[in-house]
Amino acid sequence: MRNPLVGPDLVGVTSGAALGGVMAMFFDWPPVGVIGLAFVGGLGAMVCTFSLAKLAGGRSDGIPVILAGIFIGAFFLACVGLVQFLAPDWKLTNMVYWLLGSFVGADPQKVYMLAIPTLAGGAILMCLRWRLNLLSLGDLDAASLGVNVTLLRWGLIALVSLIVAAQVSVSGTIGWIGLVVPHCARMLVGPDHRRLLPASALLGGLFILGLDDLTRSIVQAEIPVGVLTALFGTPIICFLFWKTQSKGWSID
Amino acid sequence: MADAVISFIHLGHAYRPGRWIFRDYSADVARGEVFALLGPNGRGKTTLLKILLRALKPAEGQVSVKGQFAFVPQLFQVSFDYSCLDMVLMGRAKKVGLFSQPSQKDEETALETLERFGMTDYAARPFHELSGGQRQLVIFARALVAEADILILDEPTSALDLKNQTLILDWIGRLSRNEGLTIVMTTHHPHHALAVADTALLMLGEANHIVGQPSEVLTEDNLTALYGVAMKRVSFEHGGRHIETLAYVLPPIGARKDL
Repeated sequence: MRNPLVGPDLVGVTSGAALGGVMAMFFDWPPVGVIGLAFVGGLGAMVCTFSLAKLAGGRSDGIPVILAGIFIGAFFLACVGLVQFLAPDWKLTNMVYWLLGSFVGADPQKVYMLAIPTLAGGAILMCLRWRLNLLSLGDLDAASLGVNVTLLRWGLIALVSLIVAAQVSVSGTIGWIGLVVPHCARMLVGPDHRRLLPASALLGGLFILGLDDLTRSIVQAEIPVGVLTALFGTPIICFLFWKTQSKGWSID
Repeated sequence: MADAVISFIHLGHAYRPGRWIFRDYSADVARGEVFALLGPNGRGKTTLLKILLRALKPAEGQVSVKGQFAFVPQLFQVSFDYSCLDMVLMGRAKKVGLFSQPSQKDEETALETLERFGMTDYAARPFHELSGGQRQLVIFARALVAEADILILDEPTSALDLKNQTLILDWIGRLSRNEGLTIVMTTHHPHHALAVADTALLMLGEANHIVGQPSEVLTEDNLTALYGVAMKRVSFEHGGRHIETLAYVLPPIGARKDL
């Protein structure tokens, strides 16, 4: 998206996946159905975000995307609220706890459910990781280098939606990781996605596991990890925002 | 023209029906020549470039581009601080498989090309730390590693100081005459076209254009009609060379009645 502020939370995919997930719970769908509907919800939200951005600014990157993502995300979250309002109490409790994001219900079945789309999508993303560098250029510039910008961008969006949907379906909405970790990884290994993508994947896993383990060791209660990532992630992104502000997000 | 690498016939484009930017433009660009597009702001120079780059479908007319092209944009907006080598390596996109990574050979090619432009020492430097002229050279290197036959340059000297302008113009001449590359460039500087181009196209109006050798078409009358500013052809001797250039005549400051 040529913008470091863009993460799954800010373009609506997390909210869309959340809506898909709660709707599947509302209709008592099995776990596979939760993944499927979360994927449809996440992808649908992304389509809405980019369509709105194109209507407004005619571009599929930059500030119009972020703003559109905020609007679409808010709408989908409102729909989540509506589903919760209509749900009976016993379903509501499950939905609320699931939405906070937690590893408490981890079991082998969920690992398999998560592994297949994540590994498949992740493997394709790893193969495409150098092409991500090309998307950092302007669309015309990248197209002149032989990149099918539209196809590549939408392919990446679909893959990201799949992975996010899989994650949301097993552990709820865990935000800020997709925004904070790549920034930290970029500071360690540089912007080349050949190194950045695997570094982000490793660092993201280590960060969230470390955070969850540390909290479990310190506190007796089960604090949903989605709450922790927001509590720790926000100051980190504020710090990164301040640190990079002198260069600006877009260097030209 | 039999050996034209770019050819457009009765070319026209309108972003909205009936609101033509230009129409009925025709020209051929021969292999190895420098072709300059001149026109005031909004006349459609970049639109014509986009059509040649196949990023835009023309509203009418035909375009033929034979060969691989590479684009050097006017402004480089890079979202992250890639190194110069990373930037040049991106030029290998057509040579690297969709799911593949650049090989050692690709990196060596990129480094060798940087060396040709005297930019080896800048390989590991962040691209955004370079001067305007140096960035242009890196993007030229990127175009060369793409093994393009045709370079399409959008106002290659517009953001540069005089020294860097002469550097880039020198490289344009070298790439055309020594490497045989065909170069299409837009420019706001008719004296640059006079110095380096083999053919110039003046976009005089919606359906009015002139194509020809710069020495013949970049006349005072044509340029005054093109830019709405009085232009003068100036010639003088310097360093044993006969120099022909163009100057525009600034009206007395404060004398314009339309402001």
